[in-house]
Amino acid sequence: MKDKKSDDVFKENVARYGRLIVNHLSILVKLTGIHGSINEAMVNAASRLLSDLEPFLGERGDISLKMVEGSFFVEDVRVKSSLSDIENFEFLTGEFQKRKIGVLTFRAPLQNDDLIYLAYSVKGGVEASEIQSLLESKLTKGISIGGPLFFEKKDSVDMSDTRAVATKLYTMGLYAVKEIDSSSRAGKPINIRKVKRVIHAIVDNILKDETYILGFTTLKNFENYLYNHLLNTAILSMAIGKRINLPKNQLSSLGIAAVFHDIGKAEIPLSILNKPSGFNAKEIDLIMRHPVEGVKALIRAKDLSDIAIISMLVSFEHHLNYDNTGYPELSKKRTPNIFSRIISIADYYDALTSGKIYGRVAYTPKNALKSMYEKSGKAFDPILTKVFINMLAGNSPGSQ
Amino acid sequence: MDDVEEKDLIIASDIFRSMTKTLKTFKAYLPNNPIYQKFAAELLGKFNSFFDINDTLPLTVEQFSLLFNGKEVFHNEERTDNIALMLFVDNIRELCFYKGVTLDELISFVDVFKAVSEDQNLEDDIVTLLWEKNIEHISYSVSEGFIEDELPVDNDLFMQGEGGDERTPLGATYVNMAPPVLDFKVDPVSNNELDALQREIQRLEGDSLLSEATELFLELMTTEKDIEGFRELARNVGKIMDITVEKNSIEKAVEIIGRLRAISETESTSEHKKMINNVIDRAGSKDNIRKLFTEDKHPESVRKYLLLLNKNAIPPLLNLLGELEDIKGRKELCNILSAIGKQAIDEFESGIYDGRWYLVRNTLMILGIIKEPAAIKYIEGSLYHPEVRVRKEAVKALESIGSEEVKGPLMIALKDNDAGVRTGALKTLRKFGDKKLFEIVRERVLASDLKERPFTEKRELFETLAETGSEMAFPILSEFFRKKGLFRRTEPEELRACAAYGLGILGTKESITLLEKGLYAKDGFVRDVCKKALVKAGLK
Repeated sequence: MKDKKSDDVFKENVARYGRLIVNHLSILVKLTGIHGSINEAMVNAASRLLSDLEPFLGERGDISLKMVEGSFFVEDVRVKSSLSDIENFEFLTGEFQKRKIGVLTFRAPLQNDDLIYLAYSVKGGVEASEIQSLLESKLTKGISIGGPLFFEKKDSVDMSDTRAVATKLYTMGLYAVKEIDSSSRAGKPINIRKVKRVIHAIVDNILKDETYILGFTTLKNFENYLYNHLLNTAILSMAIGKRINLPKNQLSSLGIAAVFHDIGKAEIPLSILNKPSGFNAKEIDLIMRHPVEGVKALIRAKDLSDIAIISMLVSFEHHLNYDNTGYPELSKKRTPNIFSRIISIADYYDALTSGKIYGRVAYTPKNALKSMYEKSGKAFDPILTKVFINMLAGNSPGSQ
Repeated sequence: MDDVEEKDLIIASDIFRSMTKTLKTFKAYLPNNPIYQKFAAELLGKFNSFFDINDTLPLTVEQFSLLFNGKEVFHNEERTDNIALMLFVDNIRELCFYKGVTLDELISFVDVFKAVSEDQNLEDDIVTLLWEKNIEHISYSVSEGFIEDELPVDNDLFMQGEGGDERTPLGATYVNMAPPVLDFKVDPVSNNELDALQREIQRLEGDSLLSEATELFLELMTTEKDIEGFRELARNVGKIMDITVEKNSIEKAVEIIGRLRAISETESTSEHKKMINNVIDRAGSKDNIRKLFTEDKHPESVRKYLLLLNKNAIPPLLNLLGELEDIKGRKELCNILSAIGKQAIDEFESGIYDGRWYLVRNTLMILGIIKEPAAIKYIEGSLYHPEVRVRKEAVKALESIGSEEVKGPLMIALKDNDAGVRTGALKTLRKFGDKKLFEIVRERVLASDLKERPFTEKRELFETLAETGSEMAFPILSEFFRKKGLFRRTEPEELRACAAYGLGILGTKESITLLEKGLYAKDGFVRDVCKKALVKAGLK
């Protein structure tokens, strides 16, 4: 298994340099039709491409640029283009397709000249193997060329297979949630786009058949508790939302708010978050501030859209009990928003069954539900608690 | 290719030509514009023609093209307003329209492209926007392009039945699909309970959420000590204020400003207070003021709102005052301005120097109501205004202020070429009983142009003479009182009457004797005045 931290760095580098690599390689190949190899424009273009490749070469020693069915990848991470890149992407796609190139692997050490030879070889060659020979004739050993690539079959999911779709969605969900957490911990802007896409797909899945995706909420991953917890809370919340007939768009808002409900914890060092017990007063104070810190993080990141407001309310209220006990302390009595009341139920249940409430042993689902039922009307909304328990106990909506 | 297929291709090509034009139109016109509506309706018409003979229009999306049955029905290599390219960039590879597609659905669909092409930094992509539009008769499929060789979850995780603490190689337990068996009874959710939740869900619309956000931010502002955090909260309350005014919820805006003022009172640092003040300043911005008066708003709410504003609201309110045609509204606005302007006299400068004489007059009226001596410097300048109504109002404002400092400007007004202005100034100056005024008035009374002055001014001059000169005034007054006209009777009789008013004010024994004689004067007017003057003297 890859080291997760280095995996994150790699993805960040692809997001940052991937587009530049495709753009600059495309420009370099185009320039071969205009300039000679020692022309300043050629040298400059090669130099730009080399500096785009260097973060990867320095870190890993080699790096592959792949073109699979019209899309570019650096290793297995898709290179995203924007409208302004289309011309260069399209040109390079055409060149790769014409010459049946699927992959270019660059190995350190590389020099400008190697890249210039590559550009001429691509332009002059008929297909991958011939280009490889041309390069070798120029004594360029740091670049190898491979034939066309196609998506592996495992990547395409039969959309009618709810179970397979649920598996894929849960995976995508974990990645999206992880990205949000990493961004907020690094103090970077939060990109909600991917989360929205995943949540939308999960909503569709829940509306179609919630069985499998809901089943995943029993998945407890102790190595990545936080990501599973956030995603489980979102799924459980949306499933409650479905039971009380929330419209599709609101189910999505509920799921997104659930993903962000603990975003205030990004302000808490992991060393404290991962402590099983024995918090000092300062640490407790820090933990109890996370609902407010969450609002502040969201307010910085987002406009006043409905989703943003719901997320802020949920962040603030998810530890506030139905009877206004809990935290944060209030200056004025308030009724927690229905989304907060739903998410606090899902959040509590998942934490309880994960054994992650500050050092406790994990509750069985049955015991967790019983404990929550006893707190119904005080800690939790009594109607929503009934909906939740009936839902997990497998009572059909009709029996309610 | 058979005839039907040929026809389909022609119509489909026409649809997407039309869609591109519709997109451009949507970007140029508002939805209520007839051109906008015409293009939308034409687009629907073309779809309907296609669906007369087909049930679906499935398309394959390529970078610059849309293909129907493998044949190109749209091709565009431009970078802007290119439907195929926009879909392709967001990884949509298939698109399908279904029979029954409605006008609203097509408008929603084109709106998505409009949003994306107008804002390159839009948070949402086409896939997200289309999902949120929830268009029943249009579907799409997306190539997500996830290639992960080490998925943390795999498809073989599912298991049935109890147990489930078995671990996957990645540290997760397997997915246990069996529902827990409860040993306690939970009542089913009743229909009434579900209805109660439904009602709450229905209230989750924009306004209600905004209101909840306001409560949240105000709640946090009461405890937030961190300056940056407080700034963000205040900034957002400001935004909500704008939206609230825009949406005509003035009572809500009043409540927000009231709450902000209350927080400001309990805030200890000047920085926090300043931020709150900035939000209230924003409430009184030119834009918000204009919004308040552009639609039918509840006047009492607007009044309450305006009364809570800061001094920065004064210039836009003055400008608005110059535009209001309704007299009652103008008067009300003057009262409001006088209420919020007490400590902000300098903010009225724009009104004083405005080119509209009536606005200058209203501004002077407001300054008169405020009665703040700091306004004298502005009022004094208005005594030179070409419009006599402005100068009169300036004198009134000075009278209203009534402090010692108004004497200087009123002396200037005494030289005005309008009798009304002079009389007004004199009336006010008289109250100060200044001896210097006696000399000025005496000079005027004895001047040859006295007879040219209107009666009211003459009377004011004689009364002022009496009031400021006391005994020294008697010889002059008695002389005028004794003068009788031979031919032009009116003039001397008028002067006698004015002198009688002065004698009444003096109220000395000699002056009363003279007035008693006057009760037998031939002229009825003189007799009446003497009678009134005696009453006044008696009262005195």
